[in-house]
Amino acid sequence: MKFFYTGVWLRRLRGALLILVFISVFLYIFSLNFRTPNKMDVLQRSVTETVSPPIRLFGRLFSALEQFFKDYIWLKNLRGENESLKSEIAELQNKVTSYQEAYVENQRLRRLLDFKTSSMAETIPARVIVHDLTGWFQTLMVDKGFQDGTAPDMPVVNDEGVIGRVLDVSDRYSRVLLITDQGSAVDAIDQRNRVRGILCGKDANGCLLKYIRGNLDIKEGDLVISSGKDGIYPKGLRLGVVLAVYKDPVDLFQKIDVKPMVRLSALEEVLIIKRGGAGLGVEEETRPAAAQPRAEPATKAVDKAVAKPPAQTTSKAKPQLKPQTQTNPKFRSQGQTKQPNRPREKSQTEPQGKAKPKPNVDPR
Amino acid sequence: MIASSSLTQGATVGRMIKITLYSFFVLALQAHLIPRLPYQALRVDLLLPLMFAIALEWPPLVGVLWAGFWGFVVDNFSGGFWGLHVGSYMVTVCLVNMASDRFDWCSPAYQMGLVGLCALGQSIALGLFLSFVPMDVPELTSIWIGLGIRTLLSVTIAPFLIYPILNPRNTI
Repeated sequence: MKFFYTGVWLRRLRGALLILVFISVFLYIFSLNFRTPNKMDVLQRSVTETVSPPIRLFGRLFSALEQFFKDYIWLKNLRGENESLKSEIAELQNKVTSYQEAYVENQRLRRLLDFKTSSMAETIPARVIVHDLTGWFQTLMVDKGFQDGTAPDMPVVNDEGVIGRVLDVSDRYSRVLLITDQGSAVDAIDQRNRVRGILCGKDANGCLLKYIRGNLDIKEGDLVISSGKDGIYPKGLRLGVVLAVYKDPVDLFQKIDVKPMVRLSALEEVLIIKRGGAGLGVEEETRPAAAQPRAEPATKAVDKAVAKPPAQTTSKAKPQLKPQTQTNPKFRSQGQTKQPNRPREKSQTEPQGKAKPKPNVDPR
Repeated sequence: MIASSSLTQGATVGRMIKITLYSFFVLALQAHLIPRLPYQALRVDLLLPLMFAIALEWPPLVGVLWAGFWGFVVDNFSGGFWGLHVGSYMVTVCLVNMASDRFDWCSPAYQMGLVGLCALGQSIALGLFLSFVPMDVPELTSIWIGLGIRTLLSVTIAPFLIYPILNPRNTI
């Protein structure tokens, strides 16, 4: 009888322990929602490191299969011709853009050259392994991690503009939070008139430029760039183009839809900007002027334009230098253009036929 | 007797390998196919119906652990709302185990019904999470409509995903 009761008691204890373990595990997983971005813990790292390679392999197989269907079965000649024509159009548009802007470029050449020289930030090229599995969050996984020098909060860009920032790092992989995620916020300015706001993620297709007062001048097609004031993104990186502006007379702020410059759903390679790299961003601004005599005029001019209170100037500020993109020779060979400082909005061709909005750039 | 036992053991191991490979295949599909879909409403959770099949194939504890593992994998690769998939997969396995005596799970109607219920719960949780960010009524409405369509799609595809594991011919 005693043994019987002991057995029942042990069984109940085992059940209770099991429930306790499950609850603990679930609480641990749920607590991950509230942690600050950091290096992934052991469990996350082991899952990421183990599952990523097969997923990557499957992705390659999938891409190869897709490519095969596209190239050899489905309209082989037409597709090739279309691609060549598109690239030709892009090239011509690029030329036209460069001629139109020659005058402006000429005026700003010296400052631009200084800035370009100083903006050679160290970058880490990375390949996208997988986008968010569910499709409801705006994250992706790249194949560079702690071992390669990445750390949380490093900006992630490509030749078109800003993609996001590193959220967590594993040994060989990192999770990137895209600028379109609702949890993302970037300190941004309108390139045309230096109006400052916060670019927040909205959904997979766009962002919102928030906290722009209703009386400030924002137009459709304005180019939105990073201000460099948030301590994460360097100054002057292209974020997006104003798609629509909604002004409500009752509301203090206007609602501004921004389309990201980068086609985030089709990313394959990215650049992770190492923090503390020379040139771009806050680091450069805080560096003593004596340490960078060549860059002094440029930074002074930019600081003059941006040092005013957020979003308080409408159109009098000097135009900023053109948005900068990283120039990593290794990465450029994989498809980057050789003119990193030239706006490419007109030359970008959408594979699915969607034309990107053309940014307004103040020609002064 | 020994030969019969080893045969059964071999069959069990074979089935475990098959389920593992199939789970991974579905995960790979989820990773490379679903995010490419143009509309959020189409982005269904392919692993949720799979958990239904897992619950019927494996003992409860193993099923729950398996569900927790794959839930964690999906949570890890999505990086947002930790616990959503762990919770929903484990709840699915528990629900199937609790109701396994009362329903004929080989019927696609029951399969679709329970997967639909779990997908609805998952969608509601996801919708509430997404609603934490202040947004306009039209945006919020579109999110909830998208989640509704997602639930319906999950219901529709459930038998197709469950079939490779719960094929009656295999189980006989």
